[in-house]
Amino acid sequence: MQAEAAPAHVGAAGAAVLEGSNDGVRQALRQLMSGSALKGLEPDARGKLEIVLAEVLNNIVEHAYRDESGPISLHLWRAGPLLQVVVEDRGHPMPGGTPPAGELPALDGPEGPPEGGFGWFLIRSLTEGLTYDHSEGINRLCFALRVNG
Amino acid sequence: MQLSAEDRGNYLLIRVNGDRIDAAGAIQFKDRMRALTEGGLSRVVLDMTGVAFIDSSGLGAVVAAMKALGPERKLELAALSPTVEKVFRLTRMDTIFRIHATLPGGLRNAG
Repeated sequence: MQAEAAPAHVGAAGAAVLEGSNDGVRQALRQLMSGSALKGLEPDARGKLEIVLAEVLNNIVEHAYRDESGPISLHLWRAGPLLQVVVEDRGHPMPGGTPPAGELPALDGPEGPPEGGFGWFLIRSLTEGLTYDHSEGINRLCFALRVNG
Repeated sequence: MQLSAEDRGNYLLIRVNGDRIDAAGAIQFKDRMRALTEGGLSRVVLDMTGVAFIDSSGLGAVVAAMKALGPERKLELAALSPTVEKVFRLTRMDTIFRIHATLPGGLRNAG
């Protein structure tokens, strides 16, 4: 399916649907970051949002859609000092039904500096109120970012 | 995303010609870095000017490129954008690399 974004002002609902592939994620992030959905959001907040979304969306592509691709939907809206985000996909559920704790990998492990394991650490570090559920074939991840102004 | 290499006399400069090092390009990045840095100058500087974004796959690819150089050679980074700097700092990976605000002087100085 074609990647499309339906950006709107952050005061109102921002929504996007993207293809569950690395290129779909890249395109969606480019469009979201350069479009009008995030109008009024400061650069630092935009940076945090892009980091979190990249990790969340890449996880869906790599794990939920590991066997077969599918659509990912994204909804964002401002709620006072927070930016609320809901991400949904129709792929495999998260193992154990809970998102990982996201501990930072040790810098000086036996094999030297880590090449992976950063994703959930970044997500957990930059978000609050993160919840996950799976029902009727849909994975739903909700979280908020604290943004100023 | 393309990478290009230039001998700066006392270091090898690798320029990233692209605005993101991400999941879609991480494997390509690693392969290209390995090819460009094969047997050579012990000091390699990765010029990140213009790279607006890096995700955890991209970060992993930069670490892999560093490890592929071997213990005798160093990978340094230059000109990190705010979001890229944030990713390195949050993950503490800014302590693993020497990071320059701008390109270091070579035997032939950069303009």
